Amino acid sequence: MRINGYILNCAAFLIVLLFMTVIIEYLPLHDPIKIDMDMRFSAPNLQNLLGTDDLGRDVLSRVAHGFSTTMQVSIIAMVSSLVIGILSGGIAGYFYRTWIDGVFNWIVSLLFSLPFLLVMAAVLSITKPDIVNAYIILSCIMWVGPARIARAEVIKTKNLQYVLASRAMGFPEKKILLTIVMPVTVKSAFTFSISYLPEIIGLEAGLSFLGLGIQPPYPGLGKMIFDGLDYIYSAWWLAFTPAVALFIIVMSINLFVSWSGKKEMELIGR
Amino acid sequence: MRLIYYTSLLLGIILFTFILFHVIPADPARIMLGPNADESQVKIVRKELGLDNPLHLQFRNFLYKTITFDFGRSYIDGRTIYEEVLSKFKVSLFLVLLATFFIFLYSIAIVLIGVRFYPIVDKINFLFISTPTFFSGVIIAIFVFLFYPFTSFSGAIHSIADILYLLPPAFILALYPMAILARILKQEIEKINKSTFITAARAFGFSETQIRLRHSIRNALVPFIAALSNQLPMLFTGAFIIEIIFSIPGVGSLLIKSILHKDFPMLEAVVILNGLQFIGINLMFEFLYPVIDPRIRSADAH
Repeated sequence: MRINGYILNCAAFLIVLLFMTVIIEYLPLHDPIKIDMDMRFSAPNLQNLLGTDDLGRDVLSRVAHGFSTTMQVSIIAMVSSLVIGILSGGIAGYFYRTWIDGVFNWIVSLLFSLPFLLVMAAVLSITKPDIVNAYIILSCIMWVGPARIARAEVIKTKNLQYVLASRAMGFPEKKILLTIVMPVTVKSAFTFSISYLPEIIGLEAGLSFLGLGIQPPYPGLGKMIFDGLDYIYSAWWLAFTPAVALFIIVMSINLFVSWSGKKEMELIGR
Repeated sequence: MRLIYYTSLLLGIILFTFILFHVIPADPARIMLGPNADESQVKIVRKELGLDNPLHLQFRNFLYKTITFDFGRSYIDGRTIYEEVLSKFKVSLFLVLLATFFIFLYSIAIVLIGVRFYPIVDKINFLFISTPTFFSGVIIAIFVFLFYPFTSFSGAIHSIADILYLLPPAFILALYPMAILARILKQEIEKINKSTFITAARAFGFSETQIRLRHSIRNALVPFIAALSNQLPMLFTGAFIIEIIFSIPGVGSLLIKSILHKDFPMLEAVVILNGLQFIGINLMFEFLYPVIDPRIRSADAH
């Protein structure tokens, strides 16, 4: 199979970025929260590669730290929403056409009927806005996506010929669920989750943009964009660099997802 | 049947809002007056808001008030919330309508240019989908401030200049849904072009354009409209961030103001407004499907 070099670069880049979020503390960056009033609004130069903000803090280091926070929160939220989603969706799918499934569907459509960003913003502004609460509310809401997929997959799989056959051969129900239905469900819910990751990242940035994510003085990408909007004439790099960071991460994830989708299609085609 | 379903959803949204704003916070009266107010004042406000009553009574009052659109007054400046939200909503709605206009333009272009250009269209769609609103918003905002002649907005849609000011933000808002819808439209057309009746039409000697406009499009319309009904509510959410970036006084600006000032009745009204939007849009499309596709109508009748 021919692997597109371009996409390979992209995947490598993604791995480097992920690795960077882990070792961020040890990188030779300026302190992201050290205020230096003598250095306010300095344009990108050799000392501060991406310039400084309205309090003289190094933008590069702030973007890197904000990026790392975003990635950590989004990936943890993705994994926990995946777990909740698979469990609830799997149960609903197994009890298809009973009241359990009915209640599940109603809750899912209720959650879909309100914008995620608005619900999270409302909940966070009533409770205390901080990064842990943001993470909890993200996973409490984002499970609906994987749950729908898991439900559909369980309904589809549990009546397939080979599942019926193994049931007829006297396999215990528990074994069928664990060895046949679950792997298929987990796989498709996981694939879906990865393509869902840009949306989670966008929501995290949105929360931070509304001032409900990580709290100052610690940097969040959305908050940096929001603060930078005031200086968009005079110091464009304040809003521009965090936006570019978001663009790069979403773009690489999407490229990776579309590449793996194509590869899977090729495999099925064979 | 669908009507009952949507009514139950609406009730669910109202119940959710009630729990969020009246049950979870320990003492709304205290939040309203701030930590420095003395106990007697808090007591008066508590009585005024009916917080002494048992929960089911409170919910009944809340339900009644919500249905009559009586959200009370803002904590901050005492203005009537209903009027405030309505005036801001008009601006947001206009922005969303402009964005919808862009979506239709792009979709029509996709249909007209034909299959030959689809590889390029694919790339453009991919770019649009992968661009976060923040990025495109900031870029266009910088360019607008530098080069675009219409940089003043009067606060409501009064003149041509106001509409022209809204054009770039509406375009940014449209990018993502536009690409998603174009992708669906493209897939559908490609699928339909493989079906036998299109081959038959080709055999009869109809031109490609004729086939596309008369046969492909009609069959692609139902999935397209279904996707549109999913994307339209999202446009309103996307508008929040766009409005803040371009400082347009719409619902988004209202939202961030009420979050900053902890103006809960306002936030409550915005949440309910969004629920109403969702249900309204979906009901509208429920009635639209049978008009577009007669097969759905006959399926309903059986």
